[in-house]
Amino acid sequence: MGDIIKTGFKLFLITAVAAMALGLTNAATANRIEEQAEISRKEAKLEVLPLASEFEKLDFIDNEQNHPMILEVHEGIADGERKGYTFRVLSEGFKYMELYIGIDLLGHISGVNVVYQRETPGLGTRATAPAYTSQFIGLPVLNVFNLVRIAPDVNEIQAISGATVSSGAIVNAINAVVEFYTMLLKEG
Amino acid sequence: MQLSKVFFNGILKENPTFRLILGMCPTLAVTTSVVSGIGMGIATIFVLFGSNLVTSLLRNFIPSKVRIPAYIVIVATFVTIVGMLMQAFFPSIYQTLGIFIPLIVVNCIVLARIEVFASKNPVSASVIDALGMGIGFTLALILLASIREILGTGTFLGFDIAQNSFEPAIIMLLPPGAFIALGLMMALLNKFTGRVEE
Repeated sequence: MGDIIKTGFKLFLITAVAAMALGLTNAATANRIEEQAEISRKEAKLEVLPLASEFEKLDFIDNEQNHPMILEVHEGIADGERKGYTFRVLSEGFKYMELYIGIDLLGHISGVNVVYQRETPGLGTRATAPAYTSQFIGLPVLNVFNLVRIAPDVNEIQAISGATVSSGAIVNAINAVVEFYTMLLKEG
Repeated sequence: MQLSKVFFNGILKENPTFRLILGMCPTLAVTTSVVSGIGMGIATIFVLFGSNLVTSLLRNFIPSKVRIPAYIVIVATFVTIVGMLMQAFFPSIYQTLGIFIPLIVVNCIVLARIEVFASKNPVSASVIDALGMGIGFTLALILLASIREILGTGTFLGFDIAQNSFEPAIIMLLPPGAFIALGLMMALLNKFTGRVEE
């Protein structure tokens, strides 16, 4: 009996010290992690809509029900003029993925930037790299894009071999933006 | 015990990847690019160092009946700290390595070194053992990752070195390629160190 209490107490001491160390580390890094996230969100918006310098959040009613993938929409502004829109999009590859997509005033995709992903390093992550996402830049937003495994035609995007699911996650995100933009933002 | 011997033991003679065949899971998973190999290696060195140090300090305090839970708590604490620090100061590497950081907790190199070495040896030797094993693991990761990145994507550390002179073989990035590269590396190493018994 005494042995059990002694052993348990020792284990408790170890876990208590561990918890304290974790608490201290968290206190030291939490702010910085949040700052990093804030900076990268701002940079992500700038990157997908380089013409704008400020961003103003737009609110849409019933957005959560109708467009669950679109988390946030910002209007990009420079010198008091609207330059386009940025969309913060949630998509699903093998894991949850978050990306920013920009559309300029002409209705062309101005940038795609993956800010959070947990795809397989070296495989799925290639679909989230600029080499893949930059192929969308300049494409007009007319119809949804199709993912294909052969050489792409108009409105078709070739999947990276070995990373079809991750490539598809990017295309799905862009299609969600295409639908949202066509329904709610497109002028004329 | 000679400390230099302990150190080099982990790098070649008992290299965790090529000799002890420990930590295969992260080895196969992260060696698709040299950068992730280096990131994983450094993170593991830190965790090995911390957990070997603490376990060695506490080796007379931890009751042997509950030593495994105690080790897991120590390792998990260091892994979580590494994760937080990376997220705060090296967000891009943290992004690349993703799920593999939390999985260091169950990397058997760490547990094996604690159980086999740190729990029975003084602090100085344990720390040196952690460094040797960690560096040995990192070197093995870099070696494997170089082969796989060059053959699989035609790049090295992200620089295009193939220049379209050959078509990269995707299989080298997939799990079979990892086994092929690892098997060939082990065979080569055995040949040159004359380890195979006649």
